[in-house]
Amino acid sequence: MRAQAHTLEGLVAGLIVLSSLLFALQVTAVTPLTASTSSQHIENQQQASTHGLLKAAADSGALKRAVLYWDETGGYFHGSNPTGYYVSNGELSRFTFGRMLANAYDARGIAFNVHVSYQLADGGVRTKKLIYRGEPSDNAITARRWVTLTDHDRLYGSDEQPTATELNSSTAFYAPDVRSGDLYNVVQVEVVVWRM
Amino acid sequence: MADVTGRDGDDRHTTDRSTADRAQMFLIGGLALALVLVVLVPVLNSAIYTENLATRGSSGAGVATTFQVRADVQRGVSDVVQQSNRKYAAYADQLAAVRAEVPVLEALYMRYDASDGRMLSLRYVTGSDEPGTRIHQDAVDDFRADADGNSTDDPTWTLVEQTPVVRNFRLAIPNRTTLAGTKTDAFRIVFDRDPATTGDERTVFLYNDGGATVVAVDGPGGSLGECRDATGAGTAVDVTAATVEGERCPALEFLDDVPSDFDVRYERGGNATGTYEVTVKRGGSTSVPSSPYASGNPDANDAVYGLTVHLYVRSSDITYQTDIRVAPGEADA
Repeated sequence: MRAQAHTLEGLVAGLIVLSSLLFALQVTAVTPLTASTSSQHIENQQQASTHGLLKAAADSGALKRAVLYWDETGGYFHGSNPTGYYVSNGELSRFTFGRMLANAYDARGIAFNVHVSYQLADGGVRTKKLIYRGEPSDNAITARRWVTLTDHDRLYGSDEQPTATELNSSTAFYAPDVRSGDLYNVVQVEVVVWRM
Repeated sequence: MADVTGRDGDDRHTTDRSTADRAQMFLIGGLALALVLVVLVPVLNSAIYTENLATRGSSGAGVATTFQVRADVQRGVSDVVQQSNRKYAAYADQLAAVRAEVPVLEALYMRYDASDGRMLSLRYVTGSDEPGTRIHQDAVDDFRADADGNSTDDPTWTLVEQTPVVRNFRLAIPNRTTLAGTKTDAFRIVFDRDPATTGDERTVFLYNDGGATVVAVDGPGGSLGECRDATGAGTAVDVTAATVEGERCPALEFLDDVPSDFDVRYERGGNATGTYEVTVKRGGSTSVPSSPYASGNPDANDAVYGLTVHLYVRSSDITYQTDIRVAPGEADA
């Protein structure tokens, strides 16, 4: 009789220890900041670095040159035929903005897409891919910048030098002239960045 | 006969008691272990939540996006100002064109922000326009001009007298062999507070030292430094942005130190060939001489020096408004 009571006590003691262990492990919090490849810290860091990169590109003029890096005769960005957008590093190294993105992100295993949105005369907004490297993951961040285009801005050639074609005399540019005055259009450059 | 029964009974009693004590020790030991594990949990959780709370920023409210809007609006209005200055000749037309484009810009920007739930309003601040003059030489020529009206170009001449500030001062020398070979013969740009006294000027020298363009700056206290450029055949110098061929030149960052209302003068203009442009603000005592510009090369046109627009951004998290001063190419812009 006593032996069975002792066995029962031993079993109950074991059960108490095991259930408290299970409870402790389940209650410990896993928050968005828990270290992993998709934690909030990494998203914040990528957001900050992408904002900085876009600001540097806008200040130096590289962003405007990338938006105007258009082949008027073919109707696509220089060297992006037939897909119409850039994928590989070799294609990106043609223009300064592509080189800036590749230098900042490629060695760290971070992928990026660049979308260019422009407005239509009837009020719609259309988006065009500039750089496309696949579907972003669930933890991707975006940063954007607006580029104002005026009628007398010049298109850039494949060597990133200004050509003689002004925007208001171009026929094949992707964005239309939506205002009759000196303004041509306002283009939004959106960069999507995620960790591979 | 020995009394075995009693001792046996005592032993059994003792054994039973100690066995019973040990069984309770199992239970108490188990309970103690469980307590330790459960107490560990709030300790770990407090460390995790403290790190979470400590690293919370205000980025959720869209602060970075608001600053991006401000920077892009400033750049957009700057582009419109530069366009208008080139397209129209009269100051009134230039200002009217910029004022007419501000609501157009507002509508275009708002279309992108409306889908994010953000409202944007952009207004020109009436009376904030600053008249100026754009002095430019667009054809490659030497840097002389006819200052005294005797139909011969003078190497030393004043571009503008007593201007409070200049912006977008750029020179392009396509071939550096046209520059002088030594600093004493070099073409120089002089920023002079008081033409009557010497020793208070800042001078920028441009000369060719054995195949490299040298941009040297002298101030009242001596030399402020120099920058060299040996790339290509020519050199582009941006005095207000303090760059030489796109590279930063710390010696050229002296414009902030020049006290207000100074003359801009070229000396030995025959020792440089190229193009240049500068936009000067017309302050209370500014005077632009007429005779150097009478021939049209260089040319002096009215221009909008700068203006102020008021930006108001509102979303569900953030309300932001500010006055933005637009003066493209200004040294501290």
